[in-house]
Amino acid sequence: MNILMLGWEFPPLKTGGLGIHCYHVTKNLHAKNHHITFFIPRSSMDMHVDFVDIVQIPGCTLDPYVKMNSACNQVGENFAPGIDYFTESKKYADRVLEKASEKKFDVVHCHDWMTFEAGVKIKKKMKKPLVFTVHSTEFNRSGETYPNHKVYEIERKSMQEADAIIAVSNAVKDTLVNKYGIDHKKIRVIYNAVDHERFFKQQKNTMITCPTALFLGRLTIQKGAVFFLEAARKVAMKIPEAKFIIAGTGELFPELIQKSIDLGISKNVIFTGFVDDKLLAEVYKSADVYVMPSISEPFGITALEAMASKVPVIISKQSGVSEVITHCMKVDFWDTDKLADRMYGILKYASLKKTMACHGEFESRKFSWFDVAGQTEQVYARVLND
Amino acid sequence: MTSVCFYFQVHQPNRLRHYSFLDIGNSHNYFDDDANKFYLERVSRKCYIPANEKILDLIHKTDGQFKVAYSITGVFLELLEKEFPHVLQTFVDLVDTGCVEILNETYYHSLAYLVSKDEFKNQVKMQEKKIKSVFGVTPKVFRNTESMFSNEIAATVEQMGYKGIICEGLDNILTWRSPNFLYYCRGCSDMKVLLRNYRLSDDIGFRFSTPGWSEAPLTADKYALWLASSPGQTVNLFLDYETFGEHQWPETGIFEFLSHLPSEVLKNEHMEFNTPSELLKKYEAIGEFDVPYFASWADVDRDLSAWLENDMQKEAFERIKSLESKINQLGDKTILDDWRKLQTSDNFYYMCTKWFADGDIHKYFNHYDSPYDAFINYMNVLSDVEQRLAQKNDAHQIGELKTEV
Repeated sequence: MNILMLGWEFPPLKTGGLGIHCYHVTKNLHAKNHHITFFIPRSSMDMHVDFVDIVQIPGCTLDPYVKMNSACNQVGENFAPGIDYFTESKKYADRVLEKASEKKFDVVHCHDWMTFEAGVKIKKKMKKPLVFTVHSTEFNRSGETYPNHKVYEIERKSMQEADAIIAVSNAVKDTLVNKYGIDHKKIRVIYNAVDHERFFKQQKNTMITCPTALFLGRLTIQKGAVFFLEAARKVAMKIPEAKFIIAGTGELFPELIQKSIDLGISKNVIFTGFVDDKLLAEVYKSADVYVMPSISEPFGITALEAMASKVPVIISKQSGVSEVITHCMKVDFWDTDKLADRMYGILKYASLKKTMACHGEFESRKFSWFDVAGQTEQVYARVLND
Repeated sequence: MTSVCFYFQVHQPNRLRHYSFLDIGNSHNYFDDDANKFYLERVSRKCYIPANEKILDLIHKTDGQFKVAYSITGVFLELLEKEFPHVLQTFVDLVDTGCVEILNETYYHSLAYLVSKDEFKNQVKMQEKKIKSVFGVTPKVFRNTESMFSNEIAATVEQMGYKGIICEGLDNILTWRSPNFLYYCRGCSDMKVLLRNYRLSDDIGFRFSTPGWSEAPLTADKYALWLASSPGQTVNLFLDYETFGEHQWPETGIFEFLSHLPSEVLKNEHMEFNTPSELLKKYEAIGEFDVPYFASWADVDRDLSAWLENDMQKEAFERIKSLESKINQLGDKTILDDWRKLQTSDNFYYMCTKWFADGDIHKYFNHYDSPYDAFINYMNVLSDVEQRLAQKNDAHQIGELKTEV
């Protein structure tokens, strides 16, 4: 089958789960003998891979999360300065439509709101079935506080046009049904996966010898790094030599540095800044516990990456991944007493760390991208039959 | 004649409250009294009260031909005395009929035998005393926590004056032999082993309401026929008492099943109900039962792996075990009681990772989100006990020094 896919990030240019998902799903669809054309806004990066035909669309700038070399990552109400995202996404839609009419394909598949309008235009003009994958909604990106109404409206209108929607968790599906009024019958939940081997075979970093807890993610409200710091303070009272790594970058970077000083734990906290893809597996391996305290997390692939790395994980109950994993500990993101208690336990007791690491690693093998591609294939087959 | 022997295990643990690492050294209040009361009220309402009433009624209706046995843990009796004495009275009423036997076990439903023989004996004697004071009887048959068994345990129990001991009908020990006979235990002089017929027991305990089971619905007349056609001296049906009304809800018809079973069984001329002590008097042991390692009735593995398999369980148990001599030296009753409550097997069961991903009976009654949460909570409490112990020991030693001066 020929698939036209619309995305706005693809490794090495990526900021989160969407890029990872697109990479592995296209790779595995290719292995299943499908042909994928992937439209992406033009960037300076070389995007060549042998399993997907990447077409860079010129004349528009779409990059809603992080700029790779920038400490500034703004979403929701406050987009990166100087870029009008709505004009850009409309420009993108027009250019994509031109390009699409030159291509031969059976189904068009879009990833998240920036590409949704383009997808709807293609569907209307070329009469092809339209599939959306929702990796994140405006409610997630805004940390469930002040969603941007324009983005919400684009999401809502476009999703009503889609023939099928893939949600990365039941939590996302519920949001689509309850907040966007989407018919639950056209939504299919397909959980994300992990490239197990990449993380599993990474050697342990022996440089760091003290008990170490890791946070890894964009430094935005949504990811809840501030709760990690508050819990860190409580842990440090009992384990003064403990280290707390904050890996990633984003709009809250300066604020979090200040916070670590205010809490009196600046000597315990290590900020790594942006983590290069090459270093990612090593960063996980340097930790004794991985903490994902997201306020809102549609899925949370990092939890699976940490588990595959044999690192125990504590995740917020508000994450999509918490629906499907058992060998982890789950806390409410705001309950920093409990979070601290669980971090302390893992740092303190080798038996706990070992048991969680073993079972967690084993459990992470359940999540394969090949299966995700297979389930995606089923969605295509369904919309083509309808 | 073929006997039918019902024995029910009655126990509720003292659940630990959520005890944070920030509480270590600040609070010595470990138990969740509200939750314990809540669960006890629920299980009393759903199981103990209606089941006791039913059994008392059946004893009267059959003129004492229906007989059963219980073992009721000391910690459970304590909780009942404190919170629901009227429920305790229904158990006393049953024993007063003379048709109900009480078996002994460890007071704390604990892993005490694995701590030390001395500790085990202490908890068994405590339980003897408790039973004497509550029911006015002295037990003659012993049942260790979760039917943990070995030749060595049996010998220890015999030395304490017991005539019989309960064990799971272990296939790998019995091989071709039937659990429906009494056996000698290797290493004992004349103690007899009563073996659980797990197939027929589990038909009630597990399969009774299982959808799709080929024998569903299980009726009293059908089951009585299975019992009547069983070969051997006795069919030993050993169950968690909570089977009635809690594991098997009233909607499954479990109480109707119980109501009709005695009369269906007694329709057969060759059948009667006996208590464990009656079996010991009535039948000779026919062969040797030899268990050189620790076995139990738990899960499919029938070993100790539900409590002591993963590294967390082992670390927690080694820590609690290592405190024994210090605790005994100090002789502080409160610390001793806390320490013993921490030996309760349930604490270790909550940390089990074997079946965690599948989610099954281990989840039932388990108030923790995961085995990992259970471990952390337990270790926090244990750390506080250790800290108290160290402080008291220091104070103790200083006191001794002063006296010497």
